[in-house]
Amino acid sequence: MSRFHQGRLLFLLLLAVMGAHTWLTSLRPESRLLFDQLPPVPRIPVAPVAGLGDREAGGRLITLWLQGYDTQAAADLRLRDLDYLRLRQWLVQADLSLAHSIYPIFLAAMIYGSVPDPGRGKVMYELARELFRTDPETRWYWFAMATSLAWHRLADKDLPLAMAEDLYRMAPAEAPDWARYLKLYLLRSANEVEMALFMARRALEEGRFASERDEQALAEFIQRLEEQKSEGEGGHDR
Amino acid sequence: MLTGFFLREYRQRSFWSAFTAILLLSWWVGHFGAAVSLIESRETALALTSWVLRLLLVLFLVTWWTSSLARERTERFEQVLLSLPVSRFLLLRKRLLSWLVVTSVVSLLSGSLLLGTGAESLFALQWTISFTLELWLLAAVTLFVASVLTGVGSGVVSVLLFYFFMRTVAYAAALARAQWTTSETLNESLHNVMQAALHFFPSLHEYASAEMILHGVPWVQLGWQALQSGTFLAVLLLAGGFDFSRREVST
Repeated sequence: MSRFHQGRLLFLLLLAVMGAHTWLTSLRPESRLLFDQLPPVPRIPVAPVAGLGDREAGGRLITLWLQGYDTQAAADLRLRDLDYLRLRQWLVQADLSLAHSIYPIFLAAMIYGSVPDPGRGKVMYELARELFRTDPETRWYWFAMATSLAWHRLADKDLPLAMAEDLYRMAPAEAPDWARYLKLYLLRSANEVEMALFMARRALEEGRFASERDEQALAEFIQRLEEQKSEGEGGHDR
Repeated sequence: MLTGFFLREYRQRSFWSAFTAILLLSWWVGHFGAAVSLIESRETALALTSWVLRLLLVLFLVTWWTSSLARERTERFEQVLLSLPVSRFLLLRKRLLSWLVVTSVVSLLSGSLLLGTGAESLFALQWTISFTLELWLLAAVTLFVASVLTGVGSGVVSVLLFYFFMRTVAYAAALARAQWTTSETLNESLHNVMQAALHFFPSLHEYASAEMILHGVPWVQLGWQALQSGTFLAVLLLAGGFDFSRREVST
């Protein structure tokens, strides 16, 4: 057989294989979810049992299992179809077993909180708030991210403002200004100049600054707020 | 003669092949976890590697020890040992000593693997010491169980049941305490009984835990583990010695 014929034969074989593949794929039944809902959290502590007596390893296994729960054998479950109250319980279980870990707050704030459903998102941001309160030293960063996301995603601004207030009160000394004074920026962006001014003055009086530069930055921020306020009042007068 | 026998055991190719396979599997499990996790990948890899490594090595060593003792019986080597003009305690002590050397080497290698996975050197050292102590304790338990139960399966199952019971008993006790709804006096007395029992049992859930490799432990805790492990070694060696002499009389 000449090279030309060999090539043609190979090409035909390739076409045949592709055709067979397409035909077999069309015959395959649609992938179905193995489990369509998270199981309820058992009453016994799950992590030590999952880790066969090792709580930390069990907690890690739970987080990995939760993370992969919405993707089962080529069939995807939408996050908004998950039962968020159960998900919350599972994340709390994982957090109880992980010492000084930022994994559960990260999952709550950045993965499950990003669902396009304000009700479910709120459940996760509230959980992030609880998790931050238990260990503010290590979790301030992801809590600040959660606060910022909650501000933009939730119509109800009370929760993000309360979260920002927590951040102001509980963030550790090494947390930067953008995180500690996040509430100021949120209030200003909502045009709540009076409130922002009140909080900024209070912060200046309390004087919890990492450096003089921070203090100066806050003083300038107050000045800008006062200008904004007087402009606003001038506008009303006109 | 005895030393020669154990040296032959350790020189077997299957032992080292299985050990290498365990190390590679643990390394793979850790890196799989790290690849799947979104954040804290080093911590996840370390936690899972140390976890799998510990479980597999415990399973492997317990099976190996029990089957080697069972083989001694079937090959009548035990009777030869008992007919030697040496004390029973010496036989037990030599056997246990050789096991302790193996466990120390095994845990050193495991500690180095964790160091390679990214553990901090101090925490890897603490984990290695704790794992060595845990394996010593299990070696003593296995020797005791294998001198009482003759079958390989029943011996392995018994030791593993002991192991997992000891690793979970503290959690079960905490859960039981949380569930008590009876009278205060009964609660108090049950609590005291449970506390006394927990002091007697070695708190194995604290030995070579994933938390230890990630965050370390105070050195005093390792001292406590050394005390527990040493006590159990001594008690079980004595008990095994008595049992050995009893069976010698019966044979």
